[in-house]
Amino acid sequence: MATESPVLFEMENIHKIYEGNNVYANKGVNLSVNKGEIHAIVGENGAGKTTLMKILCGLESPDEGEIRFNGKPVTIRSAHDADTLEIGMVHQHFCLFDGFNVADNVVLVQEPRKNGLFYDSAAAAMKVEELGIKYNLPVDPKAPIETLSVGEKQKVEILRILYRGSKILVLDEPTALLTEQEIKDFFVTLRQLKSLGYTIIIITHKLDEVTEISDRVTVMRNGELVDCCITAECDKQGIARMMVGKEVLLQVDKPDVTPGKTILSINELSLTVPGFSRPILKDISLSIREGEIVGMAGVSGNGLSDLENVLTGMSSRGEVSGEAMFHGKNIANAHPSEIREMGMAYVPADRLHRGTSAELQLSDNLILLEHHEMTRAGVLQGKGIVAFVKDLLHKYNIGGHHATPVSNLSGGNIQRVVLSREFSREPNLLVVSEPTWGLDIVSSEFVYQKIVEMRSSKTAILLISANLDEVLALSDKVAVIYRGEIVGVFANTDLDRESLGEYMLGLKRQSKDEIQLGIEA
Amino acid sequence: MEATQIQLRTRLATFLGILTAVGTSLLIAVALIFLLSKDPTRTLYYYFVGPFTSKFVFFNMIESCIPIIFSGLGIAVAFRSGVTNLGGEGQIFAGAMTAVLLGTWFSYMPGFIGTAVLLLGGLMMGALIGSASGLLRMKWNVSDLLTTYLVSSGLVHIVNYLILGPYRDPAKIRIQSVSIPDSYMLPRIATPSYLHAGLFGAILAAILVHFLMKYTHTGYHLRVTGSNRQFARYGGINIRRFYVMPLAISGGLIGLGGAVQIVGRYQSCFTDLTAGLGWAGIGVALIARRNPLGVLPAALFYVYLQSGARVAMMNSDVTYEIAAIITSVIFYLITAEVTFEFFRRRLLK
Repeated sequence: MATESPVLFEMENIHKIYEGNNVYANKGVNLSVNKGEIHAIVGENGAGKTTLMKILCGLESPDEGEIRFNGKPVTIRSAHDADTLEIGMVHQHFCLFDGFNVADNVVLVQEPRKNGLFYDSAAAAMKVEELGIKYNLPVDPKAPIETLSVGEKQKVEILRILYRGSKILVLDEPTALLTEQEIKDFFVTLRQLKSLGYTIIIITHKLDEVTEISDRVTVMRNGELVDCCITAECDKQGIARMMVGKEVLLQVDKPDVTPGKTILSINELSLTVPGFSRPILKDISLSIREGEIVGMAGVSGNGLSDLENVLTGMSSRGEVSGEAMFHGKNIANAHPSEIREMGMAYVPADRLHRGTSAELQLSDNLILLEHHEMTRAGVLQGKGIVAFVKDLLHKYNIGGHHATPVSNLSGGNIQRVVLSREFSREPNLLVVSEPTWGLDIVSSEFVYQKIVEMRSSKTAILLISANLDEVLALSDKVAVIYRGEIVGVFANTDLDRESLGEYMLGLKRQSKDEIQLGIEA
Repeated sequence: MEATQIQLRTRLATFLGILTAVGTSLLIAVALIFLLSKDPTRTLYYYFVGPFTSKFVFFNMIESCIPIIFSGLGIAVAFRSGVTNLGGEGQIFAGAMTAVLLGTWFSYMPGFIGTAVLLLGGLMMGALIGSASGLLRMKWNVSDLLTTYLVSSGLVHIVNYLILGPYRDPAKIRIQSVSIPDSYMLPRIATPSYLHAGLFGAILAAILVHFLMKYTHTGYHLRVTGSNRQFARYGGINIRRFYVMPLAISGGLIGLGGAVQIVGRYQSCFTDLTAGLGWAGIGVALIARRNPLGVLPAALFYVYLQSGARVAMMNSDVTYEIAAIITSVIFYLITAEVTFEFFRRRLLK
């Protein structure tokens, strides 16, 4: 008998602003989830999917908005409140304790007791084994967590929320780290849980999975809900279009620059890491010329950050083959000191841990690349340093004093610190990764303006970014990376978000010849 | 906020933080004494005024902070550079024994050259021990926290063997090693107390370490690597070197402290020579907030509490346990970050 599923819960007009960078994570989001459905939430990085779910699970508190369960308003202030409402979340990065076995991890907080006092590990193992059989999630309850594969760890995470009696399962990018086979098994489990009456919310940005597993799909963009539809009634292209949106917010004035000679030439660069079934980077070829910005676009998890690490010498994991020629030298996985000496500047995505040292004062952060020249007989030249630092603080309008610790600065100012240091050396090659992540509009515009200035002064620039607007506004040429491979190279003449989005999400790819033509153009 | 004002307020925050921590902890100490002693006023007097009542006690107190300054400096350098040195005890002991051995093997050098050779020997020995742990960390990523401690524990037994076996002085009633020549001893500067010229050496060492860390190229690398290794590597610094170097400097300073104990005070080595000086260095470095110049007042404060406790134990009903509790309460509060954070927030927002 087909009955209409009643609405299980609704989130209405949810607002959330993260302090510190004043970015809207959620802006009036309305979400309604039916009982017993698999509901996919899709969107680009930073679209606010995870924030919304954290609010549902009591891990973040909304600034505004209401949550209703079965029509009744509820307040979810803590994970405990979520527990009472039978909501459980599996985070993208697993929260399991190494050094304990599977059963210990599953029963945590609700351990079976002996005589009401002592932990009963035998009973725990038995319960977990039963649970595993019941839900077709077989894992050895006695196995130490650190010996499990990613797929098994995920089973443990799911067992954990099932053990706690959750009826609503929130899964944040559950397939990001799984192999093909593990994904298949995982979907079988999801269908089975659904048939048992569980409600499942799955956050993802893989469209294949959305169409395969979900009943309904909600699309988010820039903290807002774009649409919610029945999966069977919409096509991948339509979803992709909604995800990337139409409007281009950014206008950056780029003067005409004729590209000069090739500075960086990447040839069939690959990266394989033990434990991963497919290469993290595969046969990447690309070249960048003087005065040219090449944008590398992709959804996170497809190899953007690995490319960043390999090119800048910050990666020590895995094996690299192929080459990245810079001034006639292969810099793939070379030591940063060599690469730096050759004149590469690098603005890392992780500006807080890599781009700056929070506990050191501004001057110590700013002289990182200059301090060799500022040393006489082993002693740093205080006067020269103060003058140099003052000059940078002034030129880049950094709010602070040379002795201010970087930890006291705002996000925008911290990025200015990184830019001023990297750009002041007049580099001939610049690698910029996610330069405006988490920054407000004013700071972002400043960053764009500075990058364009570097282009005018004939620097070859590689822009790595998951932010399409940024890639489109700045790049002369755009390469799209999907699953570690370049799937398209385009001159940035009349590109639009929609078509690029299709490449980023793996719906389309160019032929080898087309890619080759694009690289050479 | 005006730039210079930020700097001023940062300093003020640190100062107020220390002041509050010291103040509160002393208040708690007073409360404890009232609680635990039958004659609290008498105890309080000996505890806090005791160290200043006689020149002999006072100068001995100053003397006892010399080795603690060295070990505190060594630990401060290690902490600043992002490594851990828990091997202070072994490094002091080995440094001291090295000085004794050099002094007995080469007993015919002119006095001041002899002293210098002994001190250098202690320093080198400490540096060598520290480097060993640094190498283990660099080559095989073995935790420096563990190896410094383990190497040091092993060394204590080796030195004890030397004192009890081949280098024991059979002419002495007490179990101790042979002695170095009188001519190698540093002059006493406040007889009849034990205070010796090593005090100037300790102060000089603090100034030099401060200069090294703050104003030199090497010091910059140590600070950058110590604060954030990823950032250091990003800047092109060869971070692998910065396991061995900071541990060598740290061990060297502490080993030097051991040698100073020989040429300044004891002339020979005995099994209890270290008596927790290595551990005290950790507390002192923490009170000093890892600042080399701060080690000087921190060491003074540390020995003041110790010597107060000693005087109070001799003259009132304070037992060793009570003194230990009071000392740990004070230490706990001072090393806690809470008070500093409080003022930093108030003054810098």
